Amino acid sequence: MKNKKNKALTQSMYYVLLSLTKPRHGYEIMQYISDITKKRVSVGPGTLYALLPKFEEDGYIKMISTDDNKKTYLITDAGQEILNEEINRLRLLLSDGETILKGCDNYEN
Amino acid sequence: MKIKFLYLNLTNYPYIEEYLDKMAKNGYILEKILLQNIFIFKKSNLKNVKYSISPFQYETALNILTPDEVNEFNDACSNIGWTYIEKTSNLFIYYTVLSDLEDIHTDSEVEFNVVYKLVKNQVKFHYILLPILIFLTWIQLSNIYSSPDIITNSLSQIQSLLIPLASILVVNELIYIRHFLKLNKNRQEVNEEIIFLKRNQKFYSFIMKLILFLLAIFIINILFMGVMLGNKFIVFAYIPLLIGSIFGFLYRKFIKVKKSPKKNKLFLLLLVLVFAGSLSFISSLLFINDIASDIENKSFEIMDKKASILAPISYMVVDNSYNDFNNIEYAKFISEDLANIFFNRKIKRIKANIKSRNIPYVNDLLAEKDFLPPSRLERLNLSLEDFEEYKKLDTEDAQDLIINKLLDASFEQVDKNILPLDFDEAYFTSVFKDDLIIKINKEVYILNGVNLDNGESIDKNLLKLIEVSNKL
Repeated sequence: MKNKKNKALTQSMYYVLLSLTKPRHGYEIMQYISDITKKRVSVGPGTLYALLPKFEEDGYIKMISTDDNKKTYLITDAGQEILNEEINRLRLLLSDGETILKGCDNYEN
Repeated sequence: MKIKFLYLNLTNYPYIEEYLDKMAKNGYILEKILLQNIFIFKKSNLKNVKYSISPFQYETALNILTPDEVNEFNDACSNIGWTYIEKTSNLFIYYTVLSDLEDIHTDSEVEFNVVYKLVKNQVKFHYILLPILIFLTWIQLSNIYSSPDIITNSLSQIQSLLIPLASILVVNELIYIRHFLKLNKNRQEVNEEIIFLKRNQKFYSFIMKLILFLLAIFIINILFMGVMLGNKFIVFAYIPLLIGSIFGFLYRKFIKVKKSPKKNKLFLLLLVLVFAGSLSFISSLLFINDIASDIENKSFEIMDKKASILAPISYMVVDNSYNDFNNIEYAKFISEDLANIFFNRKIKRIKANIKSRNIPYVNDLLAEKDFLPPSRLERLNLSLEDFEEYKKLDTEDAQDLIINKLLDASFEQVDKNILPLDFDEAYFTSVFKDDLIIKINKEVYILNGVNLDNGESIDKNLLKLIEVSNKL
């Protein structure tokens, strides 16, 4: 399943999907992203709570429980596919970058 | 305390954020927003206050968002150090005194999407609202030129200003937010920042202030008529609003918060709307019945009392003793010219009513093939011979002729000798000469079901009416 407009995920989208490979609720997602990126990336609540219903609507994540009025989400197969596509895209970006910077650009005119 | 009138919308919130920051630097922090535009600031010694206005759809009875979802977002904001102040127009306003705080929106593309989607919803809402307002404006404007009631009813007078003003505002808003959408339509695709609009508020502020002022007068008027004048009909007019609000509240409180699929909730919302609508209809009927049974045995009962700038007092007197009259409509105006306008419009209205009431009856009679007993023609002031002649004509021509004949027979100038009153103008308004409309100086009386055999009694009642009016 392709991302609807076949656009790359933004950094926030990527990390939110990544954090939901395990069940987490809103605040946990924010904390987790901050921890794994060593505070390099932060996702604000405005961004997060706009993304969660959007991803749920698109079928990338699903709500699995509501405890103490906090919704816990988990990535779906469709979401996992989007995430894998994005990782592959990032790998290609990286590989292209490394190739050129190592001076192996065969496409130079 | 400082009060400012500001326009805050999804199309300009970063500019308002800047304005709030500036106010904070001058020692005023936002305390509350009333009616979307009235910003109340209080004096504060807090240093380094910073605001954040975040677009987020807020929960209403008609959307699928639950209060818990909004609360979760609010909790997350407060967890990272933002203090909630107020929400308005799908915008949540927070402040902090902490430095280096994480922003509420950290992804401009996501923020762009949220704003764009919410503004599009606003456009849809305006497109639904606009035809309704234009239709109501058309009704109100035609009432100004033709309705007698607009002169006596202050609520109608306020509405005839309020509704066109609201239409102008909605058109203005629609142009503005459509411009915003057009400006930003392709920017998202090319990863460009959203362009917000720094709006010249003068026109909006002027219209909005007028609307708020008129709304305040409207509410004061309802209270005045309901409480001071004891007008039960005012309560009746607002029954649907009251029931709608109660059901909206109950739905939000008990159904929306339930953990059930969105489809089920939407179905339940539909059920609630249908139920509330039916209940409004039934309670209105019960209310009318209640008033009818309440006045059934009363004589000279004053009801539907109203007051307006043009007609300081108007009401209806119901008399169920069936001796002298059934009811009298009374209105006193500030000038004789207005009394004349009301008098002439009322005559036009009565003629239109006679016409609309009798056309189906005439059509039924014309369609009948069997012999008609003459008693069925009495109401139309027709003899059987005349009717047989009309029946030979084309149906539409016959209908026109019969109705015109009925109107001629119904409207007859009242002879000064019949009514022992010093009136300016008076007409009978029914075939049986039991309905009258009378104008005396600045006053107009509309009498129904009058027993003219007892002229003295009518005079006595009118005098009693004048006496009562003078005391009111």
